[in-house]
Amino acid sequence: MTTKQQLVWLFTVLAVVGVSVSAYLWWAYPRLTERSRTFKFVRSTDGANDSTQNLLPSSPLLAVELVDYED
Amino acid sequence: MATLPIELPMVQQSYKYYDQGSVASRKASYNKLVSFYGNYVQQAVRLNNLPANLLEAVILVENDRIDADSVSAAGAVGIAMIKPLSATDILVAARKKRLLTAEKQVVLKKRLGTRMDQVLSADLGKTIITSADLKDAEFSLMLAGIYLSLLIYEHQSEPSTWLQYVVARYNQGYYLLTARKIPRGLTVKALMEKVPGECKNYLVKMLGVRGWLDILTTSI
Repeated sequence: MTTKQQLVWLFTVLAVVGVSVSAYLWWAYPRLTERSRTFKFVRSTDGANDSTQNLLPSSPLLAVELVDYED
Repeated sequence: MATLPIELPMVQQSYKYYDQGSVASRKASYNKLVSFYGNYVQQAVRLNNLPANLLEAVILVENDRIDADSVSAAGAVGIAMIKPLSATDILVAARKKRLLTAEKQVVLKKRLGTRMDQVLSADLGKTIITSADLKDAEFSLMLAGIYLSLLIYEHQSEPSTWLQYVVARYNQGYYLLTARKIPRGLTVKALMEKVPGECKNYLVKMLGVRGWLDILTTSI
């Protein structure tokens, strides 16, 4: 096999591998990101925002704006 | 990997009728959701990689009577209160984003049968899903999970603002941002200035003090 033929083979293999990997990533990326995302619930560190206290009958209701918007 | 931190409450407002006294009756709604449809909720949460509290909160805001046969004046149907045209578009959009995995399709196909093939080849704007489909609680909850997953996928690169967009678009529809020319990345307060009153209330009910996410993550 000549050097030229070897280069043709090499680039053909690289092209096939490249197209295959790209196609897999195109198909898999949304699914992988959907599966790997994580959620973290954090309570606000500002005491005024701590609504847990608001839920306890014994604690004073902290100042919170009550709303009912209209269109 | 996308890590999506949620600081609650996100709005320093409380919906007028979500006072201290409402917590007990709201807890009863939550208990009904879990006891009647907990398995379907968990299935939708697992297959769509959602925080359970988010799906539960959306359902409780949409349908606090937890009535799978509900029909709103605006035409939204079922436990998750989704319109038939929106339902088809959600599935088509999820398919186009390659989020309609085989496992999700198995659940949907239980209800749709051969119509699943139409969903897999349809374009946006078609109506394949019917009101009767949306009254099927398992189907409706899976659809709600797919909708939330689709919206999160579209906003997960915005880790500090994604949740308000997901909530507002669930309420106002998939096309909210283009219909009202709303940019991405707005704070909750700024977003609320650009949406109708109904959506403002929805955001407060979900994200505010004693809102559903607030109480689901603290007191129930």
